[in-house]
Amino acid sequence: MLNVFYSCIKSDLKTLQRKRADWVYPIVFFLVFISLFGIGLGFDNQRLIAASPAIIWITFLFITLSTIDNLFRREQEEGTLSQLVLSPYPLWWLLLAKSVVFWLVACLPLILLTPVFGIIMQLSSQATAALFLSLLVGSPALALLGVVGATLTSAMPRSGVFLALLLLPLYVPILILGESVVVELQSAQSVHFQLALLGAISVFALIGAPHAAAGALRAALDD
Amino acid sequence: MINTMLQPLINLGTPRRFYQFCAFVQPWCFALGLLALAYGLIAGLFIAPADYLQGEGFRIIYVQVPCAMLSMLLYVVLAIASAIYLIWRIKIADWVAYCVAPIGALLTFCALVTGAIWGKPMWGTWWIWDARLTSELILLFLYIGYIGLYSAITNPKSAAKISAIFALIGLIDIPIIHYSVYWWNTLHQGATISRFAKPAIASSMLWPLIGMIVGMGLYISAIMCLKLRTQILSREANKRWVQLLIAKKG
Repeated sequence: MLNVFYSCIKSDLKTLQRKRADWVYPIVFFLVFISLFGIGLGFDNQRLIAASPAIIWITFLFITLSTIDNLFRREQEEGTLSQLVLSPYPLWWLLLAKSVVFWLVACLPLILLTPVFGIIMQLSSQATAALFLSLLVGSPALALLGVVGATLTSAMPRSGVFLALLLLPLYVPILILGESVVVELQSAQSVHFQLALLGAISVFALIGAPHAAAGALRAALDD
Repeated sequence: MINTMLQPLINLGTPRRFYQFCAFVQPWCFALGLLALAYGLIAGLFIAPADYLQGEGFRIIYVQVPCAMLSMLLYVVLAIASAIYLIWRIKIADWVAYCVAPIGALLTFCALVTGAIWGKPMWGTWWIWDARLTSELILLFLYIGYIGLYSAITNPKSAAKISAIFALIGLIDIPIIHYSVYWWNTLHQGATISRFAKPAIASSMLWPLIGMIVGMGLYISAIMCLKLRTQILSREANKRWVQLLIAKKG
């Protein structure tokens, strides 16, 4: 079972290594987007600092969502997904492997870039650390739920805006908690509570999301 | 033993029996619902005393609270029906979920609008991002998402299953949202939310409220019966019993 998991991740990463555009463009887009916000609000540092946790979190959320959706859609068009459904191994296990790959590709680079954004957005080093930590703890849930959203919409031709509508309710608690980590730490208060909750959501998503995604994918492909 | 006990319920699961059941229940729900609504409206809007803090303005409670309560209750109904459909593959459960979603969305919308109208004179603002308002708004998004998902997928079987999965995820989601906003507000801002203190409500105000809630519930059940009957007829249109029924009526 574990071997299947590893080889699934390995082959996916190899594919993505050969199609760099799929995951490099979103990173560039993230940079552009945050910089635009910085320029738009930059004349007023105080306002920028107040708004930046929300800006970075929301941008992060939308970009990972669209990346995951794009990757998923490509695999669906190529027929890789139907192969997964047909394989003898449990589907949720394979989708979990896919979620790990999506997290590595769509979330991890952006998280590693947060120190840079902290500087652009005039955040203190403490707030940047909080942002980094909150993204690290919250992003697994984002990636897993993103996979659920992509499977839910896999039966319809164009998802786009609709995917955002479906996932918005699921992303709201993560966004609120993630942002509150940064805000609380800016005012030098303890953040264990929020981080623990964020971690709990991630763990919960880890347990539930692959099964939900497997069910949705099976339902979408059964004609 | 269990089988014989469950037999009436299992029979109810067939579209034909369910159609007859709805046809039987509908007029009763409708009549009793109208009675309860009439009592609630008259007693609430004219007889109940004005609130000492909010004056006459509090009377919107008789519309807003039933809407909000029932919108949440209907989502639970939607989710339970979805779970039943996913587990036992009972078609009726899927149709119940499908029919209940637009009603729930409408109630949520009404609750939000009347809540805003109530909030303006009482809190001084149309909208605040507190836990109850946020979760009600998200509830509206969930309903819209469900309806949209159901109608966007062309294969009816996939549509039913996928939107059922979505409904269940949403059920888990609502309390999480409620508490994440609540905790954040209480931790972060303390007492800025001016949620007016709720004293124990006087019975002269409470009974009309209960009347309104029961009345709206019954009225919605009657509408549900009507919707389900049309749904059953259109989905089973080429079954023999439906054609016999139509031949008899026409």
